[in-house]
Amino acid sequence: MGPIMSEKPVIDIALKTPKGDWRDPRVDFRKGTFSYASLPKDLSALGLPNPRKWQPTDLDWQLPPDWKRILLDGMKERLEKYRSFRLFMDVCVRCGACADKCHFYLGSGDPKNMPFARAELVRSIYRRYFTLSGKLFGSLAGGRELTEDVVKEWFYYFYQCTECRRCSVYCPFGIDTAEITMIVRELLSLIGVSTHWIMEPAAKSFQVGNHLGIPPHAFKDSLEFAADELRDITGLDIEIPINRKGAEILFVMPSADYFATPHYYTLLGYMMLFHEIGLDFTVSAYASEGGNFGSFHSNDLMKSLNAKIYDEARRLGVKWILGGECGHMWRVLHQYMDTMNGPADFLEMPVSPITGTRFENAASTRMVHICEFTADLIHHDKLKLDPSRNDPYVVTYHDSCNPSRGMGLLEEPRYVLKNACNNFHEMPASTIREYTFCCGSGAGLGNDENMEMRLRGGFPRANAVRHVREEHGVNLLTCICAIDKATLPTLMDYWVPGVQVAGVHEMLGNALVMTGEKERTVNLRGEPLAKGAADA
Amino acid sequence: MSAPDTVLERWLAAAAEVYGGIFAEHTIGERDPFRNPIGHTLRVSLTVLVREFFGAMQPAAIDAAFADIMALRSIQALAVEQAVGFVFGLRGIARATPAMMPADAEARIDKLALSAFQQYLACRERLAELKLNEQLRAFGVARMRAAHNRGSVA
Ligand code: SF4
Ligand code: SF4
Repeated sequence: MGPIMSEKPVIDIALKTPKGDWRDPRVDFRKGTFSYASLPKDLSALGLPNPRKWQPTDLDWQLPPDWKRILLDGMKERLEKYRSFRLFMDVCVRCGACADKCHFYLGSGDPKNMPFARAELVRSIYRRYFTLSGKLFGSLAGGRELTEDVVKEWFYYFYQCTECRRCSVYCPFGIDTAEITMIVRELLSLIGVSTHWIMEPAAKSFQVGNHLGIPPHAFKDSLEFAADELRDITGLDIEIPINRKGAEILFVMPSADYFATPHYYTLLGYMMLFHEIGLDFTVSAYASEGGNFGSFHSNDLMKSLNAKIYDEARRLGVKWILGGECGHMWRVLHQYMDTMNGPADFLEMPVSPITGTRFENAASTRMVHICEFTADLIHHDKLKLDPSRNDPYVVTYHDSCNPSRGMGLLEEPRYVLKNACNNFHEMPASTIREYTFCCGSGAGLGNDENMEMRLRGGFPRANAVRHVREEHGVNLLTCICAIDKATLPTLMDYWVPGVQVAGVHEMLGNALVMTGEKERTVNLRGEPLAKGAADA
Repeated sequence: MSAPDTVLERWLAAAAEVYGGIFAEHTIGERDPFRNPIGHTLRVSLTVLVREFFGAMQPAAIDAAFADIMALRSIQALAVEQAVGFVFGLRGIARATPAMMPADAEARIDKLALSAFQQYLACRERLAELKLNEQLRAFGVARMRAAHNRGSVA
């Protein structure tokens, strides 16, 4: 043993990331870590200010000449309007409890991704312009000047927050950085700073009814294709009614359920369930989108996209609304709908026509989550399930941030899964339920130009999936959010190869024993059923 | 502390140094794998690499350990020399603890560095494939319908 080492290193390597003053707002728009700018056509379609062609990498963002006044007036208005915003600006004691709770911080190591530091980017402007000490002492009182570089920094870091609220669970004061992010995005939008991946789907939802702008005839074609597939799988004629006036229930789902995979298999599961219980329902070609990209942009846009669901419920004359496996649709419903467009007292209190259960929790919104509805059916023994059909799957469940932390839907999806699958394993307690780690792609970040940032943000979630894969051989990650279903497969392919992604109602559909069905030989993906189940 | 343990701790510190400040401390010090997934990944993978450095230098084990480390560092805000450079940190560690080192330490470090670069490049190449597959899934139903209309199985 002994060293045979040359004295001089072969190459001189800078190991340290250059560290500067956190107050320095300059950011490096490195490819793969930011979203492209919104296009003028979409801002014009939505009547939003400063439509123009630009990109974050441009030196000149072509802000309006009075951009600073617009931002400060906008801040003033929101500080007066939202007591929470003022409180969040004032009460942080920098205790650090939130510091290591953000998935972007844990996956990137960038200190400005610590939630209190993210909030500090706007809090420092608040101090400088809205507090006496800041006005008098500026940076000595923790204030910063509002410059174009600050605008760019806001864009970078507030579009690097998925509004997941994990940090707020740990904050002793309940400071909700997600709400701070929402307000800063709204402020940026006042000067025309927003992202294409949010504004294009929002504009299409506004104009046509769903994110991709799928017109009614194509919507109908997609659902007819699903009915054909279901005939092949089950041997049953399953009708999917569209725009049927006088139906008891309007069913609203995210549009990805009828154009993307693996979402589509969840759609098949819903429709099998509705057929089996004889539900009197309709879907709508107008309210053909549960997702609300307006919620990633501004209160006003969120409100108008949410309103169309209720307009359609009124037009069709339904009694109540059932909602599918969507993430932010439920956040909007649960947290904001009542004050924006509610109460929906033209609808009736939702009552399950099968079990008679009154969903009192939906007394104001009159909208019930599909997992609540299905769990209630199972609880009342109204469904015949053969969980062995899902035996090839070793399943875990990702609590999508919006239904879990945003609305407290923790038990129902698990209840459905445990009845529909024999092999279920939870991820570690600190990574699920209200402590769930975000997919890293929510709140409008899920585009491919932002892939590297998404992979950083999704790493803590993937790390927990990897743990159950190694411990229990998990090969299926289930969830109840359309963005999760779009982006978790990418996350799994990169971090935990061999784990697929599925919706809870895909598992339910596989296990559902339907009256008059033919011998089931394949699951909803067309793969052979577990041997034992197919033979049974 | 045994030679491998000493090398592991020093090498982990070298790998974490790139993050700077409190995150470097967090990476080294926090042992909960879910509060510190980067530190956990580094520690698990570096444990394998240190074992191989003092042992058989099995290519499969080395590549797998670097695959996990480079999956992280190739998508973080690090230049390639920052992502991979910590491997050469072993040289400094070796110089500081000469009695502990294998006689052919330099050759072993070169082999490790080569694997690290290869895994870094492999991770970068995977990004394009991920994007393409995501796009294909985004229009998965249209593709299934087209396949169906062609009479083939989707
Ligand atoms: S936990 Fe709350 S009070 Fe503590 S630093 Fe974070 S935001 Fe501030
Ligand atoms: S809301 Fe989520 S993404 Fe945003 S700062 Fe908090 S933990 Fe991070």
